[in-house]
Amino acid sequence: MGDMVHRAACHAMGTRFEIVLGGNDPARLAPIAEHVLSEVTHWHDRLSLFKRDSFLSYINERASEAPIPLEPDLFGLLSLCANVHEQSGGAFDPTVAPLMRAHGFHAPTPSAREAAPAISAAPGMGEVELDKDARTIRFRSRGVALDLGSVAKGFALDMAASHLRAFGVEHALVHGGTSSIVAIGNAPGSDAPDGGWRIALGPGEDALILTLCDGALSFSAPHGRTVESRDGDARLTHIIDPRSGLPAAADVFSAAVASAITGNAVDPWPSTRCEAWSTALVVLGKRPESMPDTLTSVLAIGSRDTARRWMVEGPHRPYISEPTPPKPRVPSGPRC
Amino acid sequence: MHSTSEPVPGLDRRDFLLSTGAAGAAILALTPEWSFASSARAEKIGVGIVGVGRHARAIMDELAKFENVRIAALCDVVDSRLQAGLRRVQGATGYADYKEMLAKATDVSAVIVATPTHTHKDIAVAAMESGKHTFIEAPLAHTIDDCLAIARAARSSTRVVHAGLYARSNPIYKLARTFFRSDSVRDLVMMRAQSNRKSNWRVAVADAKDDKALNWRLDPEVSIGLPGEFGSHQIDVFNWYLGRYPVSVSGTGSVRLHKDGRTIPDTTHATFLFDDGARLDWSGTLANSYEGQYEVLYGSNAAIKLAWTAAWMFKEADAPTQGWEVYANRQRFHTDEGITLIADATKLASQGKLKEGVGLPNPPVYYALGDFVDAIANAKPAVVTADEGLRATAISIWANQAVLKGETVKLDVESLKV
Repeated sequence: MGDMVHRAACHAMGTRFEIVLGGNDPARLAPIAEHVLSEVTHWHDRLSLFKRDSFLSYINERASEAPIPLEPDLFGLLSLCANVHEQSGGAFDPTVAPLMRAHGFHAPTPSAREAAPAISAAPGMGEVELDKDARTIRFRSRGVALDLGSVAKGFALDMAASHLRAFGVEHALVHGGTSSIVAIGNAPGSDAPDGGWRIALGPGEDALILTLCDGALSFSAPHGRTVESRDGDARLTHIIDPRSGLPAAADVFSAAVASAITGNAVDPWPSTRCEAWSTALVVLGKRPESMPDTLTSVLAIGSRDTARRWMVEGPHRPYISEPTPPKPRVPSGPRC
Repeated sequence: MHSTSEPVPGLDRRDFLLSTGAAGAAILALTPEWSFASSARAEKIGVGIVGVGRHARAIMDELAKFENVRIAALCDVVDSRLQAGLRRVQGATGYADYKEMLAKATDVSAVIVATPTHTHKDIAVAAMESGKHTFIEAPLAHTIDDCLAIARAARSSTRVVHAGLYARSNPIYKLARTFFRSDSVRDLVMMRAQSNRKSNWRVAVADAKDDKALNWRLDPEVSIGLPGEFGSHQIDVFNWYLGRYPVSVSGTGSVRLHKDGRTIPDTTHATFLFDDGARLDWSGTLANSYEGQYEVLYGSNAAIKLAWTAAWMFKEADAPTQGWEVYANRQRFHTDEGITLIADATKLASQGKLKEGVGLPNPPVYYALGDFVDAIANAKPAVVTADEGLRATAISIWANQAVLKGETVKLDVESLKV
């Protein structure tokens, strides 16, 4: 492998995607990078809840009237969502769009009078019907709306990885906003024991250093995005517990999920799976028995202002380092 | 100065202004055809797509929305693309040769030509001669002779032949054109358009033997450059809005960013002149994506900006006020405020959801395909004729020649005798 790298980036899904390719032929790598990023923007265009002409908007508007035919990749994505929804006991649910809107994360923000019934009566994944033979989706009732924000980046990375493999790329890393990452092969010039791509979970000295080599990783943190509550007394986190309709309340600072594959015939969507499960873990606060044992979970327990401890479970070797012992933190007190 | 106050069929200026006098009436009066769901017929239209690259993927995605369409066949000379396409479409038959598809696929009554531009002519003419309804992506072809051959075959065809110039099917563009043709901008003083993107334009190939076939845009023997591939769609907007054609074009171009041995300029500029002195400045680059793709028509009363999925009107302070504007949705652009031109505003306004109506509900390609399907299903004439495809493409080919030679080229649209 050559030590040269080619970097390229694009804006999609409300963040910045970046691709790093290793190799000796920049003339070959540049169009491959562009091809892969155009795949990312393709899925942005298809899956955005905020684009009126996206296919997701089309589904949300029409699927309660008639079954909507799906392409195989999209059907695979939604089947995975249904699967994680079931395995997580409803802690992950892609039909949270009405809840997100009720809490003020999506414009237009409803009034308090409109929001309360929307929260209590949100339909949920049980109202989504996926027909495997016909490859269609149908909503059993009106008011159902998919929000794929918790899996779209991972899915775009899975699709990116499949294209990279098709081009025979042996060394690559692609990330979406640094919170969802897929790595192919090892990193050019890496000094990690396994030659993998070094990834820091969290800022500063507390960061847990992972190395990814042929794997995927997704990171979720409830404090990543917040809105002010209606009474102005609190900040509501963007990860909603679909079971209660309220923001996740578990004492989780962050959750990361890693997979040791980048997609194959058995599981084409490891990055998507990691992303769905990282959201579910923030809601659940701990790793459930039902979580696939092919996935490694890394939970940081505690809040922004208290001491945190890492909980690493699953088949983490060889692609995850031993966790750094946590250092005690001094509570910083109220923030101004 | 040429005025834009040309009559719109079925709506003269006086009627238009009267209809806009009452608040919201313009919106009520101008709601365009919005969905093609009503064009469904009992028998599904069997479609064959020739060229299964990335653009065909968008075509397949949008065709899936039409209940009266079935993709019956796919054709591509690159097997990996064909197989990827067949995986997406249930029940379609794959072909490597379009002639074989035309001969054997008896369930195909309509053909969509989405291959590289320089291959359009042979495929499109063969499809038309086989009695198929034919949709030809724009630009129509890479030479004027090929464009003429397509237009002549279309004249001889008894089927629907639709040139894929998307603006003419776009509800927002149709709405904005109604404003333009009804004198909302008053005297047209100048026009501007750009197509900016950050792109290498070199296609990644998994197999080196496919490089020449897939990187045709960078092949000087067949490429018509940025003016052709991007400009033809935009030039057609002005052809359609003005109802006339430019008489000369001058241009410049160079490789500013992608200095990898290519000779096709990655940054170009062309100036089109009309017989009354009006000017259209068009530029395109692969080195910067700022503001993407848009067209602007500047008049003495207002400017109209068209950006494919949205459009705005920017009024001068001294322009007369029309009642409906008070209720219109507006967007701020630095120091200017644009009135958003919303295609299905009537319905949205009645639901109190006008702000949610900014932008198209479907990608522009959906509406172009919808017009094609609707014409077949309901035995209507094509919305965009091959003749218009010929004229827009010929002007863009001439513009590319002006860019490559750095000189002024006379545009004699009247000489394009079909």
